[in-house]
Amino acid sequence: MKTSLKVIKVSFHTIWNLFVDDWLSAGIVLCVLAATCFLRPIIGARYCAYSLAGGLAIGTFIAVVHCATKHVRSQQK
Amino acid sequence: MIVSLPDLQAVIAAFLASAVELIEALTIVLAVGVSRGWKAAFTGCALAFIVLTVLVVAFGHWLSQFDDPIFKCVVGSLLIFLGTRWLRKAILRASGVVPMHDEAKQYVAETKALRNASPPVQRWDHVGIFASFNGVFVEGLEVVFIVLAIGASGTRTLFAATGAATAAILVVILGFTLRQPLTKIPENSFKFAVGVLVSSFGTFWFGQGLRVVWPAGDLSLIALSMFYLLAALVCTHACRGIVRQTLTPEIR
Repeated sequence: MKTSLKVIKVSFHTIWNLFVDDWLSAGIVLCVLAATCFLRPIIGARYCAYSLAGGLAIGTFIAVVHCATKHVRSQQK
Repeated sequence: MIVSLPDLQAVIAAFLASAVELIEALTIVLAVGVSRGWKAAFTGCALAFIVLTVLVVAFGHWLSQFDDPIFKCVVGSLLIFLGTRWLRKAILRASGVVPMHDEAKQYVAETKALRNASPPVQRWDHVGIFASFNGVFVEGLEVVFIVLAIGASGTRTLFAATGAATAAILVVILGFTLRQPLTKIPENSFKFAVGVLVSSFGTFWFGQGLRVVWPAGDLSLIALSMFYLLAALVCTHACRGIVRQTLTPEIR
């Protein structure tokens, strides 16, 4: 029982880490996807495509710059 | 059979992702072979390949039967999570924030750890087999997901599987010939490209799930890749600036 629970836990962690290893980045992506779903009926199908790609690019930029700043500051300490 | 540009993109994405992951898996298999014996290394590796192939065949057939918008949204969003994760890591490495992945260093560490582990007392070296299996399975799982997801939302399973299989054959041949970790391959550039391509595929399918109108149909994948590549280069430039700004006072 204990071993199978451990195996399930390790498998779950392995799969989870494939997609989410940084909460901020995952949160930003999730927000962009949710906003796109919400905005789809308002802004129309064509502009929705642009806003999805643009939102993800800006989101990635914010997440990467945040990660870099955090990492560089922690290295300085 | 006419091969379109997006099909070619699927082959390249699967090929590069497989190459990166299999190079990392090869390092572990070589470390197991040198420290615990080649029998354990090959057994673990073969077992992992069998499990991964079963996963591709079983899920590949099952997933290709779905043509639901919600399903496309789920697969697309998972690909976006995976792609942006690869891209973020590659940008941080390319800009010098995080050190580059060093296969030679990992090989030495793995070999040392495996030599320090309990010596094989049974006919089958469980430690060696598990280490080899775990290395190949964990690294291969990402490739399996990419192949399945690329194939699931279109008719590109064959293209993605061809790319992955070609990379596997090449890495295995190189590994057998050189018998040392593949350190000369520009792993981070591969990761950068995979991040861009997988994010593009994810965005495209998430959009299709939402019934978004892509201006040029399937060819929008190319435009999306170019757009993400540009965004990633801007990110790399910005991160280099952060590193430079932080280091400058110390140099002075």
